[in-house]
Amino acid sequence: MKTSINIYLALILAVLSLSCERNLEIPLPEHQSRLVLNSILLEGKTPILNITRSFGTLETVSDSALFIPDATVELWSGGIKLTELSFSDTTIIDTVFFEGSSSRDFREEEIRVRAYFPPSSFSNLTPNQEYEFRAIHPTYGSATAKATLMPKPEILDISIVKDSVVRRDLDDGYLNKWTAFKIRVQDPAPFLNAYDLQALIRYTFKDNPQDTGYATTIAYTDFTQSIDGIFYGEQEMIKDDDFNGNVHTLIFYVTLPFCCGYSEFGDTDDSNIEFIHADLKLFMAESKFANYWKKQVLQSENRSDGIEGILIQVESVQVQGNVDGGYGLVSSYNYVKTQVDFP
Amino acid sequence: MKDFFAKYSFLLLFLGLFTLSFPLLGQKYTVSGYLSDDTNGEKILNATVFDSRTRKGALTNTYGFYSLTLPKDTVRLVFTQVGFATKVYTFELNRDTTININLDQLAIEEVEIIAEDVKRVVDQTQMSVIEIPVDQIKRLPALMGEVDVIKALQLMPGVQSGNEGSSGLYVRGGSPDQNLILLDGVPLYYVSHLGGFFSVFNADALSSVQLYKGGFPARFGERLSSVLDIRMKEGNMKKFEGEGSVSLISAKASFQGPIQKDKTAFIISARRTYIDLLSRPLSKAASNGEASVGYFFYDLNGKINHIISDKDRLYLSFYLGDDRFSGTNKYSDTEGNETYEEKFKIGLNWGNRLAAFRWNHLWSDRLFSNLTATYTRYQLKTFADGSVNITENGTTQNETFGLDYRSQIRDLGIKLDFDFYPSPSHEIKFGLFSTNHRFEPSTFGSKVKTADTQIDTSIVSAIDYTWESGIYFEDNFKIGRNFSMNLGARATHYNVDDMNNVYLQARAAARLKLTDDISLKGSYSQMTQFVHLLANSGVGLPIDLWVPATGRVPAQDSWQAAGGISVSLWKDQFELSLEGYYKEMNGLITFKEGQNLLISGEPTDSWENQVEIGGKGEAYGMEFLLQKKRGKTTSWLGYTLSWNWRQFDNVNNGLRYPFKYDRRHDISLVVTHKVNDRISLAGSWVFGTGNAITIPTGGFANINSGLTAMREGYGTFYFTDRSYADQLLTGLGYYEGGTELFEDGRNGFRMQSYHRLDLSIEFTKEKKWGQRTWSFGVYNAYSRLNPFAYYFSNQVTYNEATQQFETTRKLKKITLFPIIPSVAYKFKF
Repeated sequence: MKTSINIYLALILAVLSLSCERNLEIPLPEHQSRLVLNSILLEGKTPILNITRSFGTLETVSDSALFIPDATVELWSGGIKLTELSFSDTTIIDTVFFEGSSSRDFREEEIRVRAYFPPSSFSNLTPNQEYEFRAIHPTYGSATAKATLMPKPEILDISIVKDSVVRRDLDDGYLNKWTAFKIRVQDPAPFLNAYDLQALIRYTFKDNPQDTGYATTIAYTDFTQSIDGIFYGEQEMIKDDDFNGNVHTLIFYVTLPFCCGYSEFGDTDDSNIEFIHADLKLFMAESKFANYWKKQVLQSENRSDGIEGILIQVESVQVQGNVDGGYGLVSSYNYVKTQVDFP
Repeated sequence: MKDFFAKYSFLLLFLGLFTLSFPLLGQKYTVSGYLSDDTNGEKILNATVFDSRTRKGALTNTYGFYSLTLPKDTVRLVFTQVGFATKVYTFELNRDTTININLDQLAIEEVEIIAEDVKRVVDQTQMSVIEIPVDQIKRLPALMGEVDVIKALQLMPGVQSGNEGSSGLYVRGGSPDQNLILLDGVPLYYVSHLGGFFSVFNADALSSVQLYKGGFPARFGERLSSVLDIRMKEGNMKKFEGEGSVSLISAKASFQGPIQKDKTAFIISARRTYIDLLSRPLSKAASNGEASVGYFFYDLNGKINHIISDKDRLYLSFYLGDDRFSGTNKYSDTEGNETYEEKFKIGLNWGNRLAAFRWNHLWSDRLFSNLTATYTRYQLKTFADGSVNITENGTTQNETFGLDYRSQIRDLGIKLDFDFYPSPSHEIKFGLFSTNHRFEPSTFGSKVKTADTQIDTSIVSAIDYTWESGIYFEDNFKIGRNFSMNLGARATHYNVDDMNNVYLQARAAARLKLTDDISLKGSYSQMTQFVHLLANSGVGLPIDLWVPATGRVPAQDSWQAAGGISVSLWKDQFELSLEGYYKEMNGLITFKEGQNLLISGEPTDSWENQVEIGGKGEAYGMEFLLQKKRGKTTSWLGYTLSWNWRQFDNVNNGLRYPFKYDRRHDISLVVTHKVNDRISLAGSWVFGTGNAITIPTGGFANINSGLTAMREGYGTFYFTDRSYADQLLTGLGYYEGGTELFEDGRNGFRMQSYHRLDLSIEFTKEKKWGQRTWSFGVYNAYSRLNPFAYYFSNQVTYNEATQQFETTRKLKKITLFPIIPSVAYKFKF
């Protein structure tokens, strides 16, 4: 189906290509640039704030033209100014492991960002506390945004159900198997929050137990079948709208053995693989974080750029942040790590 | 008691007016019969039958039947219809009398001298109706010479086209799914060919076209915005005749004649495009014979009409039409002992099947009935089949696969309509109907066969059966000479799953004649619609899905009020009408932000999860129409001033926004002129405010930690804190220039305005065998580059001076049709 439609679309695209195309000199409504604040508050981490500015659609932009290094930035909580933040592009904020030349080779990178930092003497943030960034710039005005530092999610118990969902693709008959991770949590009452799961699956080979490996994935929360008959996992955070403040069992899915696209085991045969255990990281974020992320993904998937957008028109997606007087998102998440053995 | 009056005030008013309108007179008799075209026996509908002494009159119904009850006296009946010579019949009415009349067609130069009493808009109770004679439609200039009924209607006020070339109808703020399009009384669900550039109606097979924009009579229902009632020709009862044409893209032919003279007639009409005859050899040549791509569409209309007796007639009509796109690809290669052969075939077909059986019965000279049984089906089907043969050392390994997809809606219906003429002041229509809908949004099948695998699967989305059954009643009556009303009501029972609801709809239209040439009109109508259209595409792709109203996605409903004035000018040479309307729509649906069945859909899951429900629509405006219907030069000037809004709780922050086809100004000027018997000219000019579209006016970068570029280079091990935050903020790595800002909201930006001039000239010559016509036309005569669509083009450049990448965006437009000449050869015998 998809193939046929694509060819049909190509035919129409060809007609469109043959038709007259003109650069349109058109005065789009003038955009008033505003500050864009982005920050994720993390327990035990220094609060940092990225500040850029918004730009007009037809404006030629580059990184340096967008970063705002000369704003006045303050961090407030409970009506009290906690500290001022200053711009730096040299501070190391994190250390990240990157894959090297092979899947067994990892190396460490230091991450520096262009952002606003508190003084090194500033103590860490406290969970359940609301914080507010206030930024003022002589040209782009002022912007403020609040976020509550999320507490760690409370896991009551975890179970694994292997091959919990089995679906067959229609295009080639491939059998998709998703293993379920059922995580019972006590949801905190004061927040509207959302959950996400990262899993690191450790495995070995039955015919060579000395050889082990692992793969990581962000777990799926739902499945869809595309119009060409192929099943896909959906990664959406699970929001607590229906169970706010209650005990609830979250269900996440991981494809085994193809977690993270590993295909060295062959197409369908996982009989030689023995899954040992999973390192899990359960995230709990503010709901607005989940909404913002979802809308950003939707918008980027349905971008109006390019001629293709004309053929299949999708309703445009508006991304709503939480910055007063500007754009962007200031939010928070927290997480717990745990490990569970495969049955 | 007060509640009782409030609740039933409409009914009481109806009954009061009904009673008042019966004149208390003495002995009366009824004269009735059929009006036919003398040349071919075709029934003449909407003709005027008028007693010039009592000044009482009636219109013929859809089947050419009339009935007029008059006092016992000498009667002078005048039978008139535009394009026919008026006939006058004087006789003594002293018993019920049947008079079947044949009218002679007029040569065009005679049209000027038609006598008085031609049917006038001023005299009609009904308002907001467009009726364009098919002959006039056929004379209008057309894209690539392909005459199109829908395109002609788009030239009328209150009716808008969508994009350039589109055959969608947007009537008074409605969307295309809100039009009830009837071919011989049977609904058609998809009326476009070739991506919407042409409609499925072959003008050679049609006898009449009527579009109701408002003030809907109670006999019509189940759509919110318009009723397009198209009737096919019935076949010539007198003699055999044929006509046809050959244009740049298609050829068509019609043939009709008596099977048994004055008893049984048939007509058959066919049309086929031949784009594929060109595209197949071209694509083969371009691919060294490996690939072939073709597309064509065809229509086939047919009808048989049989007179059983003076009281009974039968009609059997059908239509079938398809668009067929197909492509094949062959590839083979030999290397050493191994031969590899691959074959691939794809297809995309869509089309309608329609059949109607009708039985007219005359119960008395005052009671006429029509029983109709209908079948209609729209189907989209696509498939892909392939095979691979690998032969090595004499052994062949074969693999085949096949995919197919189908989406379908099918209706079976039965209707019983009555026309009752109790007195000259009343024309009553009532009836009952029942329709069974079968919705199959998608069925997906797959076959795979390899040496070790064999799969044959099909997945069928939930098939919904729904029933729409009901009754209607309407009375077109007169009180005195100057006031007439059409009051009606319709009750529909709707069943889906376990849900059973009854929907009542009131209809009213009134006309008050101020003078013989000026009348005021008003109308009110409530409509309910039990189907929704999930519109996937913007350019008329056939992949929109029809779905039923359900418990979760309720039916759509609307009410519309309209008022206006009709004036006849210069001894009926010109007719002017001015109408204002206000319409509210509820229960509208639209895809959720970012949703589209093709992109994020799941055929086995419910479409209901992908739509926003409970939308409201508001449309209002004013329409002006000045027409010259008679003489060698006929023309009309139409102007529409309108506003059209939509509102959904979860779209555009809950604020109302302009509908995509909200068009503030819409102007059309159409002129046809018959120079003499051999030469005729036609021209049309249209202007429309640009479509409303959503354009991002600004944006911001999704910059959080600068990790994105590094991740793209190396991939990321997600088990770090910052990278997770970054991943979420940058949308799981979908980093494409940042977040767009839509400060003007949904549809807050206007495309350039649209205007176009089309011209045509026809040269007709009588030949021994009949008549031939050469038709030359030019579409978009001054080659206005009208916008079809806008899109953004991004360019990333490296600035050596700043040593940075810079992104520049440009807004571009696409124009589909610059000036396009056309030529067609038509013949008639």
